[in-house]
Amino acid sequence: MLKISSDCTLCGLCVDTCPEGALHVSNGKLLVSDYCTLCGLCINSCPVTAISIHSKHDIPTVESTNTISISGELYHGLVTAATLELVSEASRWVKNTKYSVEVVFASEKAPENLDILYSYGTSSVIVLQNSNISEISSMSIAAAFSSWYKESKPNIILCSASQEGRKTAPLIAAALKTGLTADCTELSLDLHDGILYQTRPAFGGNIMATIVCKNHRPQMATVRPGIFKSEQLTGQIINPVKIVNLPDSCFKTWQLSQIIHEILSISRNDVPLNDAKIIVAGGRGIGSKQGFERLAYLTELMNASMGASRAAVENKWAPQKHQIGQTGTVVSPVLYLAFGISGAIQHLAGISGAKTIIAVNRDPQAPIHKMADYSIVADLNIVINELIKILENRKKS
Amino acid sequence: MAFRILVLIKQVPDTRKVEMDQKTGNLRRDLMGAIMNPEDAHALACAIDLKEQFPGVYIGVLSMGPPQSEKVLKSACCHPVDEAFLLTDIAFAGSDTKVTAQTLRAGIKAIENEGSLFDLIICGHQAIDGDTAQTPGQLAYFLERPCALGLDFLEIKENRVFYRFSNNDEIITASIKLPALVSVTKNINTPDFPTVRGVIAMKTKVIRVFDRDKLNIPLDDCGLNSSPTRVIKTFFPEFSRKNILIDGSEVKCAETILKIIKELPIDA
Repeated sequence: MLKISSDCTLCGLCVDTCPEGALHVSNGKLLVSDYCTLCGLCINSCPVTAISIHSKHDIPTVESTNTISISGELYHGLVTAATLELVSEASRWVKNTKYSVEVVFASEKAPENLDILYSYGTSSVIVLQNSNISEISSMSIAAAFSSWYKESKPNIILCSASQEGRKTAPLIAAALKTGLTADCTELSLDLHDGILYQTRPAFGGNIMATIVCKNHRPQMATVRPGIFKSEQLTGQIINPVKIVNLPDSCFKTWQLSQIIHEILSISRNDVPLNDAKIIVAGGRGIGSKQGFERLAYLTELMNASMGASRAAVENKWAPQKHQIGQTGTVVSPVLYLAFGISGAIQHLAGISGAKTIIAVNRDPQAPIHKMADYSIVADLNIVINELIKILENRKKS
Repeated sequence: MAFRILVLIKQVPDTRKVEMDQKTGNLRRDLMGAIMNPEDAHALACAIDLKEQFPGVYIGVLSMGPPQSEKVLKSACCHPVDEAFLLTDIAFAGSDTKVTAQTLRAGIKAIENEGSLFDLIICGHQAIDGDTAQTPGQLAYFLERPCALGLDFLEIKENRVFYRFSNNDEIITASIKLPALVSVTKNINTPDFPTVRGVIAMKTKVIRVFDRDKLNIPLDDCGLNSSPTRVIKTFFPEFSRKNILIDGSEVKCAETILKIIKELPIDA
């Protein structure tokens, strides 16, 4: 229940903030209706911290080991970059502590070259093996991981928030009857009590929420690819990779129901957005499909990847896969070059990881300028044409 | 017997319209408004498409949320929906995805006990207020039914649901056995507006409400009390940037852009 202390000054800020309209002031009192979903936004809005959430009781903490387990991800049998990022980050936390890092894979057969993982700082690598496991069946992978984790009882499980990771992790969390925080952009481990502080964007990227899973174990989070840096170390001890053959009884019939009929590769003439070093993106200000064709040409000349705002995608000037922002792809390039993007907060949340942002927008009031390292208030079509001219000349000479 | 579909619908604040009060730094709720979660509208359209293909298909719609969720169920009822159900109780407030999935399971079991199993449960891929995409998979786990998530296409053939989804640079076609649960993205269809006849028909449709008592869920097993995760802090994202204004003609600007890029740590 929402608890309101006597510090409340009836200022009404929380009333304006509540997305459900559950708060109102009546007869000199702040009242909470049953419209309240305990989302907690009002707590943040209160200038005198008079609002808190009261929950009935705290359950005892479930026993766990001091292991941080990374649910490793394979794509065509190869370890993904996102997995290496998680191994590196977790290894940085646990250096010289009682905690240790392991990487677990679930696969039909053990992938090769897993020794490389030790150079990212893990102390053990485990492969769960069974012929029922398929890389593109989240149900089978989740079943394998769950049966291992039920026995090994790690303190923390980290998964990549990739398309497959976002499908697999919820199934593992449900099987382990524990909590799961999606798409974390920041994690910090309290080395004293082993609590993982998990921060993620919420409400469409409008606010950030820090979440804990206090009493349940393991604590589980999926992490956005590209948030942490992977780093190879020297002088790491290489242990043998442990192969665990799972019995068929780990897999229930419903978890093995998926039959794959066809896999088609889609031609991808550009680098995937979340790996891109330079992104050239366009928004409403580009004005037309033709404008986007010019932008695509510039992108190619710059050896960059193309992005688009929601407005541009909704106008069908650019395909959905180019959409950047909270509902599209979240990116962290070295350079983000934005043309004619006004900078809705959901878009800004999706580019906050960019090292450098250059914004070109004719409107000096556009929110993107506040978010930019370099602001250019100019006609973007002329700027694009000038850039194309210079780059074409360079190519010729 | 008729093919039975259940569509899950969530009422969400329209987070795409959020604005911040510049003076207080708070979210302006009055600008937000409550809507049907956009991808849930695609889930409903998917059910309606199946009903048009296979006459006699039954469509139920189910929502869990505060009492005001009735509004989105009513808007769903403007379409050819047979029954609408709402799981609501103040004790459900603060449910995280695990507890939401468990409560939905209890609701679905209660409805199924009155009739028969749903052949297909269709959800939107994710809700715009949380963006977690966790509840559909977790619900499938608790129902012990096969699931396929984030689908761009689906069809029913020979007691299986066939579907397409994308993963990295691949498009995968696969199928699972019914009864099953699927979640769909906005790529799957374009929802139709309700017809005038649909809006009139909505007025006679009754929303059946289930509370905690009716679902027989102990107080300790629902809402915030039993949710493993807790939000302990919320704050506004902070963006700190250099904010350097580049002046001059468009030609000058283009040259400056290339100069900045040259100094960045990018391997050619």
